Amino acid sequence: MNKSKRDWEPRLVGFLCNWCSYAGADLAGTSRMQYPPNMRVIRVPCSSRVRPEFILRALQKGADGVLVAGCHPGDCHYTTGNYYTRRRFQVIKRLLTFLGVDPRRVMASWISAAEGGKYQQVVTEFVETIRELGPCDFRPTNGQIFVPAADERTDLGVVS
Amino acid sequence: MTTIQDELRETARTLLAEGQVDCVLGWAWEEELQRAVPCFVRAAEDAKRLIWDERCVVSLAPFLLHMKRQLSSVRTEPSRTAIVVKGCDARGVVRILRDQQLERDEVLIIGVVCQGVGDPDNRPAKCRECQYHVPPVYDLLLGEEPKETQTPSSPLLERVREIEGWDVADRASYWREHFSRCLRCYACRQVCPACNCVECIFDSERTRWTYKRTTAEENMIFHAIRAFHVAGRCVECGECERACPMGIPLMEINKKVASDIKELFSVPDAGVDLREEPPLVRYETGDLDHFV
Repeated sequence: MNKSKRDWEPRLVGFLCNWCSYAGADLAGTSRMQYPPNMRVIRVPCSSRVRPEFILRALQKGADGVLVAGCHPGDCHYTTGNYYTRRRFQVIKRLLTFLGVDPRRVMASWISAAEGGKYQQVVTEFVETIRELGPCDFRPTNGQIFVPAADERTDLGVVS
Repeated sequence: MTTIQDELRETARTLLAEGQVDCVLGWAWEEELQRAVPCFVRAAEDAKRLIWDERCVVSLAPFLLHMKRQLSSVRTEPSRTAIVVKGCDARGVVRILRDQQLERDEVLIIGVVCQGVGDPDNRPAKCRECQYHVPPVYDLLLGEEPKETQTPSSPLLERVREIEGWDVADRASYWREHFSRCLRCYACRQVCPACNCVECIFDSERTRWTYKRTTAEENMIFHAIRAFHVAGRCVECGECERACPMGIPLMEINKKVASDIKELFSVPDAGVDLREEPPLVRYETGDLDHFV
């Protein structure tokens, strides 16, 4: 670890479903609930939009933890999307654990549009967990984020 | 006494002579390479080139697909290919059929009863724990069905359990060591019957999920995505590991995913039933929810 733990702030990525969890996060905001600002939220149409590649790429690009949040089972806007997420997520989480990624870095949660409080709680606890774990060593050596050469850049490949 | 090989040659000759199939895909011995290679027999008199014995290690299932894709631009009339399969290869053919890459009537499956391939004193791992000496799906079967069937223990699964028991940091360094050797030659993908996408995401020009450089981290992304893309569809034929020039134990990853899926969703082995629905493209409302 190059940086001292004091300077280091966890950097999290949250994939929130448009219909429930994103609205839940919005509710937490409009209700003035306080939670750590470490999570970068990415809005997705449905939690099943989150390909496992998204999770891997986030970890590799410098995220220390990834949250996937969607509607409660049975409440999916598209009726069944989160049932697929539920199956996939369990498999990818166990696979990543097997390959040496700490299981606490990847989490899923069901947060409805009315659960601003739950969103606040989930994010706060997640940030605390990651703070204890320290930076993710999944990215290239020494915690440096790898910036691709110009010829390797693509629309998804650019680090900003 | 007629051997399976004699039966196979006679069957292939008859099928071609009667015009039931356009091609028989089997193995032939290549003297120069000193190994059994895929052989596409199109004329009845060439059926004598086919062999069947312990040297027939390579799975022919992916060649069915390569052949179809190469010929699709020049051939318009429907064709039918007979393919010779061992138990493990038959599951690969089921995979390709079930993924709707080929129609069922485009393929005639000639199953052979197999007691293991390769060096008898040093069988591949998959043969030591084989449960499918008789192909689970076939149109014609050559050889005697064995009387007694016993489920062997699985050293591979024990190995997976052992790795699971390690510390996270130990697992990370174990895989880092293996993945740092990966050349990203994609041989594991090319030989895989489950990797049958027309365009693989790793070949995509626009969305590049991994960079070209072969660092341990990039390679890990590749292997994690590869394992997940065949999750629930991997037929555990072990071809990826056999093809790997760097000796990366890929079957440990595949076995891990397969055993997890079996445990979580109580599904049968992949590739034994033509009507199967891969476990990750369906769901039960009562699936486990404890991880959330």
